[in-house]
Amino acid sequence: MVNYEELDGILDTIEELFSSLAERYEHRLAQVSIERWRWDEPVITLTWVGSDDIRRNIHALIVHEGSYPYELLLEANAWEDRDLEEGKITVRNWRHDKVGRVQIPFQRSELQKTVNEAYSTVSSWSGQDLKEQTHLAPWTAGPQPPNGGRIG
Amino acid sequence: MPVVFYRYISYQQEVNQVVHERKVQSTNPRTRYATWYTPARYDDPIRAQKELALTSPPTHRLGPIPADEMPDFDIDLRPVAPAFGQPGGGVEARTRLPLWLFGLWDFANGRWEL
Repeated sequence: MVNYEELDGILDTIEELFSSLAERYEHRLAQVSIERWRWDEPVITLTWVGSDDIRRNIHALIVHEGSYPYELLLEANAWEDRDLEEGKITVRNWRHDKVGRVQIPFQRSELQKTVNEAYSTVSSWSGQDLKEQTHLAPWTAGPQPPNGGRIG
Repeated sequence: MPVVFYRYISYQQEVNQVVHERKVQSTNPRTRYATWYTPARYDDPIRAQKELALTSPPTHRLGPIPADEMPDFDIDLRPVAPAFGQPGGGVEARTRLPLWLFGLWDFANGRWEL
């Protein structure tokens, strides 16, 4: 059974740190958003677009065993999507790194340090560092194929 | 606009809710029951994990749900960002409203036939 209350309380603390970071660097960050519990996962995400137009995010995921949270995993991603062949194909170039682990319960200062390090790491990546490549499944407004948009 | 939507589920609590209440909605009160959907049907849960950028493969797929029966989204269709070592690139949308499923209730036996 998931203890939503307890896990969400932990996410509250991380949100404060994310908000503070976004404020500190607001002149460099565009389209900033902070979201939590995407697809019911105990995670909070800070997303932004850098001045180089590369999208970046930092995720803090609570690792829990049943109702017992024991660790925070911080990871960061940077990515660019490019349309090719007149928009028929979209290619994503991206990079992902695990940037920190913090045991729960944690000292706020320790988490602050890890969040700052995550930001510094992911901000340092340029387009040349986005070495993973994935072709994205096409999706646009319009009728779907008869099999209901079946993908694999 | 997609024709149908699907929900991928990983919590047994929600599976039980679907089976016993015919209600499709996150069981998380802290998000006001924010519930995510995608127009993509994945027959491979690993591929669902990859394109929806989930921490683990989902255990269940629910759908297809016709688009005109879906509740209103508060986050409209958008590409999935990378996360947890997965590239994302799928499509997702979110609602805070429940979706009720068709069912056939057996009064005599107090259970769902369908």
